[in-house]
Amino acid sequence: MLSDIKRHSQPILKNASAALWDIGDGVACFEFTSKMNSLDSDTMQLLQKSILTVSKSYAALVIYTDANNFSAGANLGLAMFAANIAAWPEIAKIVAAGQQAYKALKYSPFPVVSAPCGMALGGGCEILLHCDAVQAHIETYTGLVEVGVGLVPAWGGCKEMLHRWSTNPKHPRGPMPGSAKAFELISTATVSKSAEEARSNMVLRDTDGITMNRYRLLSDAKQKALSLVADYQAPQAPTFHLPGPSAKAAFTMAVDGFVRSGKATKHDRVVSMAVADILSGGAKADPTVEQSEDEILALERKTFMKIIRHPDSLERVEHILLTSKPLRN
Amino acid sequence: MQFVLYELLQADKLTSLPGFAEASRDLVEPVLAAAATFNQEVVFPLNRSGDEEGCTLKDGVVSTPKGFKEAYQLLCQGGWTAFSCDAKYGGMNMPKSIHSMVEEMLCSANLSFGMYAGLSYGAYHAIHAFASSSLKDQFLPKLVDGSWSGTMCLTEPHCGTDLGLCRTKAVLQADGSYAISGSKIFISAGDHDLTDNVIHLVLARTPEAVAGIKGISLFVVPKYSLDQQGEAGESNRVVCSALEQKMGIKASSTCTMNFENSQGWLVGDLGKGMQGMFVMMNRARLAVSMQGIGLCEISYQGAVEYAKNRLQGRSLTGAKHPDKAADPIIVHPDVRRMLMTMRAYTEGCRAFGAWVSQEFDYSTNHGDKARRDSAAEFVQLTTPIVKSLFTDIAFECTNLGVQVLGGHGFVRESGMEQYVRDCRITQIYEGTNGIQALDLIGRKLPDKAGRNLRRFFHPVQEYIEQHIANPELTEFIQPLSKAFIRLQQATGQVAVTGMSNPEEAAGVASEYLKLFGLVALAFMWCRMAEIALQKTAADNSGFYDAKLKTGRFYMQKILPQSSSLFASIMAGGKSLMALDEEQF
Repeated sequence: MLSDIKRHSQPILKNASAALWDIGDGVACFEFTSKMNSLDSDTMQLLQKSILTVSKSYAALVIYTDANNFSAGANLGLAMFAANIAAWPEIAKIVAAGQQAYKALKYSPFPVVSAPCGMALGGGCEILLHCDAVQAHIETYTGLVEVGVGLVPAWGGCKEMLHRWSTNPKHPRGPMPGSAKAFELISTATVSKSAEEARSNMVLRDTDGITMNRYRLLSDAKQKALSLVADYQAPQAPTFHLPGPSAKAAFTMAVDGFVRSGKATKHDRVVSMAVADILSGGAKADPTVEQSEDEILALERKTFMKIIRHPDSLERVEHILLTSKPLRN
Repeated sequence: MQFVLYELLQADKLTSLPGFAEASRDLVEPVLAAAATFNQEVVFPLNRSGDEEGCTLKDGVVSTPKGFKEAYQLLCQGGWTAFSCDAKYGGMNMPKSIHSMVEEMLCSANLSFGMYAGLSYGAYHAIHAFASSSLKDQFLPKLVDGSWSGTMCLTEPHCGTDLGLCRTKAVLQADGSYAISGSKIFISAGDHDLTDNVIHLVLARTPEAVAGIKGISLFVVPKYSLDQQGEAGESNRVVCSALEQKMGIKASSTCTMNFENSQGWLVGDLGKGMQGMFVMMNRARLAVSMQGIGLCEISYQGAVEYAKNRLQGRSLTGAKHPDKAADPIIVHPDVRRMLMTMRAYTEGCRAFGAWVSQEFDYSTNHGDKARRDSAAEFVQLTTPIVKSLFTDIAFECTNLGVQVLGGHGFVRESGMEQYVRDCRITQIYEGTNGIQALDLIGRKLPDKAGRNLRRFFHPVQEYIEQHIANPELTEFIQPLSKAFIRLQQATGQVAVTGMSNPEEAAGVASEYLKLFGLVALAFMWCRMAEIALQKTAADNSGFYDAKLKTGRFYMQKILPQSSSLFASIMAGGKSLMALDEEQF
C-alpha cells in the first residue's frame, strides 16, 4: 500500500490535489489527494510536472491511490461554480489543460500504468484510456459517465474510445462500426460493473491485468510498469477516418426511438447529439479524409463548451451536486 | 423614471402577468405624475419643519410634527397606502416595480414621513403571507386604507443582529390568543398620532420554545384591542415609554415599546417567526434601497440648483457669463465632478433598482414556475447588494451635495445637511450594510451550488458577447467587460477562500459587495447607452445626449474603482485580523 511508503518518506512533488511518490526500483507513483479524488487544474498541473520529473529520474510511473475509489472524475463543484459565474474561458482552460496533461502522459518517454479500484468514472476513466497499461482491481467500476450530468467526455475520452473500437481486430472495420460502438457506450453513460466487463467495453485491453487482492494492487501495477520498461517506446499517434453527418443522422434516429419509447428524455437527446457530433467527426467529416488526434480533441473541446452552457445541463450538474442523484430532465 | 420603466425595462409587458393587467402605461404615467405632484406640494414642504420640530412624547402620547397628520390623510385618500396591495383587501394591485418609483419620490420628498407608510407595507406583507384568513380579514383592510399603520418589533436592548437572543414572552391563553410581555427598542413608527390604531408585528418566545432563532415566533399585537365591529377599542397595554433622540429622520417616531400582557395572535407557525420576519425584512431592504436613491436625487437637485445660481470666480478657460459679476460655480471642474458623480450614481442605481423590482414582480406573478423561481433567485442575490450599495452611495452623494453648497450646505437653512443626517440610518437599519455583505458571501453565493449567481452573471456575459464587436458601444462595453472579469475572478476567490477560511472571505465581503454593485451599475449604463445611441440623433430635448455623457462619466471616472477594490479583495483579510485584541 502507498501508506507504507508514506510512513517513511516525503513526496517528490505535491500540491493541493495530488502528490508524486518514489515507490522504489525506479518507479514513481502519482496519487490523487483531493477531496473524493476529484480532478482539477491542480491535478493536471502536478501531472505535467510529474511527467518531467519521471522523464529525468525514473523508469516508469504508476497512477494509484489507497482510497476506496480511484476517482469519480472532474471536480464538478468547481466547474458548476465557474459555469454559474459565466467564467467560460476558465472552464475552457481546464478542459484544455486536462487534454494536454493526458496527452503528455500518453506520449511520455516512459511506461505508465494505472491501478484503479472502486470508481474510475468520467475523467477518472479517461486517464486509464491514456495509459500504456492498466492493472485494475477486480472491483473496478469504470466508464464515461459525463452524459449523466449533461456533459460530454472532453479529456480525450471520446478520441480514445473511437481509436480503440476502430482498431479492435474483433470488431467490424470501417468508419461506422467504431463510431457506433463508442456512441452506444458514451451516450448511455455505460459503467462496467467489474474489471472483466470493462474489458468487454474496451476500457481495459486484453493485455491489461486484473488483481483480486486489493492489497496487492500497487505491487502488481509496479511490476507491470517495470515489465514495460525494457525497450519502451511511446505509442504512435493515431489517425481517424470518421463517418460524418450520415452517422450522426443514424445516431439521431436511434436516440429518437429511445425518446419515443420513454427510455430517453428530452435533454438526453440534446446531450446524445453533442456526443454524436464528436464521434461522427463533426459536420464536415468525410470518411475518406484523415483526421488527426488534435482535430478530434478540438472537436471535444468545442462541443463541451457548447453543451456546458445549456441550462438543462447545468440543472443536471447542480442536481447531482445537491442530491448525489442524477436528474432525468 | 419613464425611460427606465418603458425604454430600458419594457414595463408594458408586466400587463401580461396575472394580476397586473391594469398596470398599463396609460395608467402608470399619470399615476407617477400624480405621485410627483403630491410629494412636491404636500410632503416635501414638511421635510424641513418636521426635522426642526421632531416627534414629541407627552403623557404617553406621541405627536408627529405639525402638518403630518393632514398630509397622511391626503396620502390615504390618494390611495398611496393601497398601491401594491391585494385588491381583495382594498388594494390597487400595482406591480412592485411601479411602487418602487413612488417610494423613491416619497422618500426624496420626506424620508421621515415616508417611514410611516413604509412600515405599514412591511406589516401588511407579513400578515398577507403567513397569517390565518381571519387575522387577514381583521387587519389587512385597515392597513391597506391607511387608517391603521404597522410596525416591525424585532430589536431588544440586548439583541439586534442576533435575534435568537430575543426575550419577549408569549404565553398561550385559553381563547387561543397569546399574552405578550417584553420591551422592544428602536421601533420605527411604534406610536404616533396619524392613525386610529398601530399594528405591531412582534418577535417573541413561548415558554416551551427552544433557545436560539428556532424558538422565535411572530405575533400580531394591536395598540388597541379590536371591538365587536372590528374597530380600535380598549387599550391593549402597548405603551411607548420613550422616544429616541436621533441624528436624523427626526420626524419619524423611533420608540421604545413596552408590552404588558398585551393580547396578540400567532402569525404563521410556532418557531417560524424569522420566516415571517424575513418576508418583511426582504421587502424592507428593497424599500431602503429606494430611500437611498430618493436621497441621492433630492440632494442632486438641490446641488444643481445652487451650482447654477451661485456666482463665484471665473471659469479657468475665461468668463462664461461676462454679463454677470462672476460665473456660476457649475463652470468649475471640481463642482462638475461632484454633480456628475451624484447624477451617474443616481441614474445607475435607479436603473438597477428597477431591474431588481421588476424581477420581484416576476417572482410573485409570473405564470411559469421556472420563471418565478429564476426571478426569485435574482432578487435573493441582489437584495443585499442594492440595500447596501444604494445607501452607501446615498451617503456619499448627500455629502457631495453639502460640499457643492460649501458653507451654505453646512448650515441647516439650506436643508442639504439634513439629507446627510437622514441618510445615515439607511446604512444601519434593516440589517447593517456589513451584515448585507456577509449575507451576500455567506448565504447568497453558496446557495444551491451558486445558482443565484447565474441569474446575474449569465445575462451580463451574454450581453457582453452580443455587443463586444459593436464599435459604437466600445467605450461602454470594454470597461464593463474588464470590470466583469475582475468580478468573476473575485467571486472565485471569495468562494474558494470562503470554503476553507470563512473569516478570510468575511474580511473582504464589503469590498466584494461594492465591486459587484459597481459592475451591475456599469451593465445598466451599457444598456442605457445602447438605447440612447439609437435615439440621440432624432432627439432635440438633449435627454439621450445627456444619458450618453453621464454614462461615459460613469465608465471613465467611477467604474475604475473596481480595480482598487479587486486588488484589495485579492489581498485577502489577513491584515484585518493581525493585531491582537490587546493591541487595540
